Amino acid sequence: MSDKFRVNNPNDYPVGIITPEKPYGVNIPPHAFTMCTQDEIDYLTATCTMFQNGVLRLAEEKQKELAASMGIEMEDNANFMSDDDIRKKLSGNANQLRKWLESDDIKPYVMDKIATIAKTMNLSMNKILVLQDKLPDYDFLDK
Amino acid sequence: MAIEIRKDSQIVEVATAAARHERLDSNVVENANQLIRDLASDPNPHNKYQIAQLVKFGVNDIIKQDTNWLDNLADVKRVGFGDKAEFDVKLPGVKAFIQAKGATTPRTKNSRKTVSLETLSVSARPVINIVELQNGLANAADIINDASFQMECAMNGYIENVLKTAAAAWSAPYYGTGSGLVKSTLDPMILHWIRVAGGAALFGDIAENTKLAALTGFVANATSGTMQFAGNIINEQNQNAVIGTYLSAKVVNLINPLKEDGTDGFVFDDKKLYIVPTGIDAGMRPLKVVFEGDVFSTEATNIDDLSWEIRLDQYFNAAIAKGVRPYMGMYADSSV
Repeated sequence: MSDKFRVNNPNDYPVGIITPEKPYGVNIPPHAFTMCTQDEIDYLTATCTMFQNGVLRLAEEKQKELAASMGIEMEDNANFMSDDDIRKKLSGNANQLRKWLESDDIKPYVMDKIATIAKTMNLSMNKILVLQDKLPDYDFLDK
Repeated sequence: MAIEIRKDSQIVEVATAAARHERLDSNVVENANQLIRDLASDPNPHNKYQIAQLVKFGVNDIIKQDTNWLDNLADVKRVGFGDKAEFDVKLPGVKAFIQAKGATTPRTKNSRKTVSLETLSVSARPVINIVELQNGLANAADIINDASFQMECAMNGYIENVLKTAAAAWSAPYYGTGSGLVKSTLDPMILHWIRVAGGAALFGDIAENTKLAALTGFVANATSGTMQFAGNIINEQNQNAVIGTYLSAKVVNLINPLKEDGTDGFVFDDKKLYIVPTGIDAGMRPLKVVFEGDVFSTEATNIDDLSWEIRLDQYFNAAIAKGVRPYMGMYADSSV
């Protein structure tokens, strides 16, 4: 029997996957996981964009291997960051924060995660203004 | 006698119907074309203004009818020029507390916030040769058809983009995604609205809606895993390419025209399925759309090349204001 790997859904929303081995589909609830074979992972990377966008993740080493095979640079890429990494980024200075928010192709659900984390932190007014400018749909002064 | 074209003039109805390729009596069309030729044959400022009015009224009629889909998905307000639309959004309000007898209950109030939207303009600037209009080589119906279609596509694309960008940041049960339509992911999102609002409707491109039939089966044999489908579902799918109802939710195809930008792209995202609760007040929908005034026109003639152009504008805007929760859901099909 081939090895199975954890496919994690680190998001606040459910993610469904369909593979030849799971023809009726499997739902991965928010912050849960399912087990998939290497063939299924290969199938999913070929038929959907969820691994490329960071919606689905594998365990650390396996994820690095997969990202390298897809030609994705994970370092500093907001779509692949953990909550702690985002918190570190938010702790930098306002200019760095603005540069980071402008430089990446950050997906809307990651923006939401950044906003949610930012609201839990005690950020300086400079940084709040940067966040308010880049994420106008969120109210950072209303905790 | 100077010809005056008004909103309810018969020529507006005829030109709009012709632009929609509706069946019309040939005499009526000929009379309408003759009237336009008469106006164009004497291109004084009054007559050119009247032709521009005709195009404006025609585009306005078509855009109003064709953006009706928004009435099912959005909280739409139509205001006069210079007026501001205000949308009421409910915020977390009155709370109840369990406490010791006689203890002071914290005060909470029923709160709302008001969101107002600044408008943008969607514009088209068709240009025609005035001599062609005089000779009947260019007709008003074509201009109305092209201008209204392009304005509509630009406006609908913008509004949908506002919605899908915001919805992708929502959490369960308002947003879900999958490598195709996955029943165990989609069903709880629909059931949520059936439970909360008493009913739901699904809006999507036919490419997405057509996949719903495959989710209606039941596993007939647990060992082999074969699916069994109801005969009427198979027939309905074969006859209409979609089923009319899925999990009690009405399935509605969004009309999705091709973009005329040289690509095979569509105006609406063909990988999104919107789940809209049917039993709630339209004012609770998170997608807020405002139309300021009707379509208006300005016209000018260029004497260098005899071109005559009409600029058509419609002021509008869209935004998301969700308050306590977004009263709709979106399923994103991430398959390629």
